[in-house]
Amino acid sequence: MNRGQDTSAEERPGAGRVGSLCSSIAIHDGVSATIVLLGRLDAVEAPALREQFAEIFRAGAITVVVDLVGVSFIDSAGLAALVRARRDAQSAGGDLVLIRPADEAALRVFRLTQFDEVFQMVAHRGAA
Amino acid sequence: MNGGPARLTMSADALSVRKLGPWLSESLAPTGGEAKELQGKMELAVHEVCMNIVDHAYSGQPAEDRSDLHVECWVHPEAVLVRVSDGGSPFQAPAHRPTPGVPQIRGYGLPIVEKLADDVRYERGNGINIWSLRFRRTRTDRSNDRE
Repeated sequence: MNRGQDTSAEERPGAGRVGSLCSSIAIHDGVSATIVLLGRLDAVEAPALREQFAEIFRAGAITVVVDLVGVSFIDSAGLAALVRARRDAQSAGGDLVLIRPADEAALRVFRLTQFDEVFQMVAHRGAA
Repeated sequence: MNGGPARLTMSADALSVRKLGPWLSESLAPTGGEAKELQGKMELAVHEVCMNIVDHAYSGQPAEDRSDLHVECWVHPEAVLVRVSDGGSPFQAPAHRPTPGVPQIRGYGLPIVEKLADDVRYERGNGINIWSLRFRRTRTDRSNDRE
């Protein structure tokens, strides 16, 4: 992801606070997007996140960077939302790249399911 | 703990299950320096058990017809025990379990519980489902384990 494109990124009107999960979406060049999540990604938040991914794909983005650095907890429903988004991105010829959560509690679900080896995970946005 | 378990009663819905985190934090205070590590494992495990109940034991039932979830926690010198009980439909083991590292959308909840807890038991009696989870206090973190 070219961070230089961030300044001209299109902020999506649907972005904002979703329950206790804060999110912001930027579409960079029509085919790539970044979604920054902050808070708790659980079964309560997963449906809204799925809708946000759908909005991103409807906008034409196929490569999506998901910044999980500020996510404190992820359950299997949150994981499923990410798995589904990865599948949809790859079906369109793109991919989903995850920025690794800083909190060990949020990273745990990836390790337990070995999805840390399935997802493309990087340490910071500059590496995406 | 005054000899008895810490108790939490909550509605059988996803939003109510969020009460687990703060409640566990308080319940695990007697474990001192172990509390943070225990909380990290136990919150995810007990959360997944409760969400399995919300999604399956009460599947299709309107919220007003659902009985409450009851969670109890005992802190012992060697282990922390958690019991989750509900009055929903009997648990039915899923026909397929996910293969580790192979992407699929659903089915990860209980395998996660089994990896985090040292012992997981399910029993049903008198119309009540009871899940019992045991977490050793001195165990090594298996979060990095692979199947």
